[in-house]
Amino acid sequence: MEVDRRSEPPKSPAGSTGRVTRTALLGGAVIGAGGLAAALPGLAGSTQPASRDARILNFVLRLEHLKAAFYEEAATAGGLTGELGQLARALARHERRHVDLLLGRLGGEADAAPEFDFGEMTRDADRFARAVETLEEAAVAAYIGQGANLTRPNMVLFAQIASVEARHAAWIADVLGNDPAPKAADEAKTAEQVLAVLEETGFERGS
Amino acid sequence: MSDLTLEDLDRDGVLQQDIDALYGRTRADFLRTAVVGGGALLAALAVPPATRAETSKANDVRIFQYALNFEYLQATFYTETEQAGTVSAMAEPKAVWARTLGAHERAHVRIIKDVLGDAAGKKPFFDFRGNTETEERFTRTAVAMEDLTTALLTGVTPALHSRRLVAAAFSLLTVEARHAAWARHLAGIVPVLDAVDRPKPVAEVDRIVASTRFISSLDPRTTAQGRPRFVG
Amino acid sequence: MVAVTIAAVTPTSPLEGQAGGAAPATAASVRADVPALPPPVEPAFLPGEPVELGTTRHLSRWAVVRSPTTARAAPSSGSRALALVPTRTPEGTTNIVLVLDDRVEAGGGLWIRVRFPGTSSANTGWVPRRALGGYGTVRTRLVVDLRLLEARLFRDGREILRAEIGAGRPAWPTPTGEYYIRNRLTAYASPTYGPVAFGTSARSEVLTDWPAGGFVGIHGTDRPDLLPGYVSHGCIRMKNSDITRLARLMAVGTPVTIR
Repeated sequence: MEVDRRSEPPKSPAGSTGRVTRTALLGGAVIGAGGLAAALPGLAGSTQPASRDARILNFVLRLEHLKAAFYEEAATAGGLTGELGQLARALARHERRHVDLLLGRLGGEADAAPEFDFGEMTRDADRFARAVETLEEAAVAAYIGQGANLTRPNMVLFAQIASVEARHAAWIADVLGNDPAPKAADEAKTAEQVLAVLEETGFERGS
Repeated sequence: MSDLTLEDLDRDGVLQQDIDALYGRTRADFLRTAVVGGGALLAALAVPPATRAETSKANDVRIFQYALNFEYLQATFYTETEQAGTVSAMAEPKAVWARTLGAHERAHVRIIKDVLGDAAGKKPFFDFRGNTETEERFTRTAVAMEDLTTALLTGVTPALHSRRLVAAAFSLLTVEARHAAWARHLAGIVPVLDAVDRPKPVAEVDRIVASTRFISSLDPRTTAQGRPRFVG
Repeated sequence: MVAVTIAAVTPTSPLEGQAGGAAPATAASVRADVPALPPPVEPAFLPGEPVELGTTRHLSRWAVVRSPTTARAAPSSGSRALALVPTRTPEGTTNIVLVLDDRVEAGGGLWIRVRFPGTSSANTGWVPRRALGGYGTVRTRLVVDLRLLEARLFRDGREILRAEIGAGRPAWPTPTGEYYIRNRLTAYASPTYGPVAFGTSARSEVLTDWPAGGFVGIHGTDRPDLLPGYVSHGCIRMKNSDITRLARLMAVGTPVTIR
């Protein structure tokens, strides 16, 4: 087995003299002369990481609230049959779990759940499927966009949820006959861009 | 290839219930005996998400060196399957999938090699042990491989010291997850296992890869120093 | 220098078009209650375009022989045995075979049709996949013309080298047929073989009792004045400058046609 067993990420990075030079090389390659610190978000600035985490968590919580409610309604509205019905039930379960996980992290800092009005969207298979794709793609881009801004424990949570949102996105794309993995790397969206997508659905009541 | 099946891994039948519900008995039967490689993600239901108190640049290099080996593994697997003519014999949607995954994994190899520069390791010699010649074994192995990659990246992404590398790893993680879901959907098995993807520690990923014996211990030696014994 | 793709994160929403360019009028009210969030961290790298494989038309594949096996006339263990295929060459290198085809037998076992070392009349057969190790690939092909006394190397179908050769005398003719390169020998002290020698899978029809089985080599020479000509025991000789060039361009596993 020639795989480098020293790649164990967390606790016991086995130091080896052969790696020191390589490390320097990687540092040079990735970071360039400018240095890494300059490229990092201002974690040490005036913003407390904890409150920033809370804002980010509340941002994706809002998305998850919407998706959970949307899929739950779709799963029970009776307009979906076959695979779309199965998909709605599976996604309802997943997104509700995401809401719970985020609420668990946020505790008393969690924003209240918005109210939603999905109209006929949860009964119309075609429109439902297209909305799923829009929402899941937005979620993937949202998690990617904010993951690296978090403190480590929440970054861990984001990694575990982001990949599930990506699985959802690929699943619905394949159902729709679209490309489930159009690029070799997914790209981030800013919070504003994600919220614009939410906005456009018109699902949030009172907006 | 260690011939683990879902039945071996899913002793309490939790996954099976999910799959029965989604796809009915026929597909479920297929899955029950489907070889899922080293078990990939399926077996990792109880691994707690580790939080990394300590990260370092040196560790970042090691993580990417490991990731490069993994990308080599995947890229070579898809390339070999295509070269064997297995992909061109597939029905259209599946052939597109197989070619796309190969093209992505080769792009991943290229960029990670570039990023590592001189720190990039040599490409290992692979032996896929008959898993590239037939559509059925290829598909099963691809599902296991993509799930395993997703589990690996889920674990190492938040373990990276550089936040810019974290951002890059997030972009790879979701693509591997897409591959996994796409593979599963085409194979007729549930694309999403659970509400969260469980990370696998590198040591466990390593153990699984070792169990496949895909990284050949027999690196061919076709050049020698010695007197020819040909007819002359 | 290391090339690193620093891709700026310029996300474009697939929905922006539908939104009619500008944000909807209500957008402000939706987003007003969300405190400003940090922009995405710029990724250290993003992969470029997917890398297509391209044509496999000129590709040949070879496989390591992992365990000693018997090549058979058909993909079945009950089929007639044609030859034993060992794991080592007479020179001590890893034995390899050319991969020609594959088939799943009725019992589910995977069989590979291979070209193995031997005489041209008996050098293809079926072996179980489990007897083989990993695969290698080459894009080169060597064509040896005994009438013109020249060798031509092709890569992706295009000629990249041509050299005059010496071949077997009438009593010990170089065997014609389809073969492959199975090893490369260097750093030996034998001027008659020149600086580099390739071992082929071609076995002489007449010198089969030769100590190492009578396999044909492609090598240099200390008698370039004899080339081109029919001068050898069956081996293919080249000028040392030509064999050195060939060694830079031709990988082990390259198919060889001798005609």
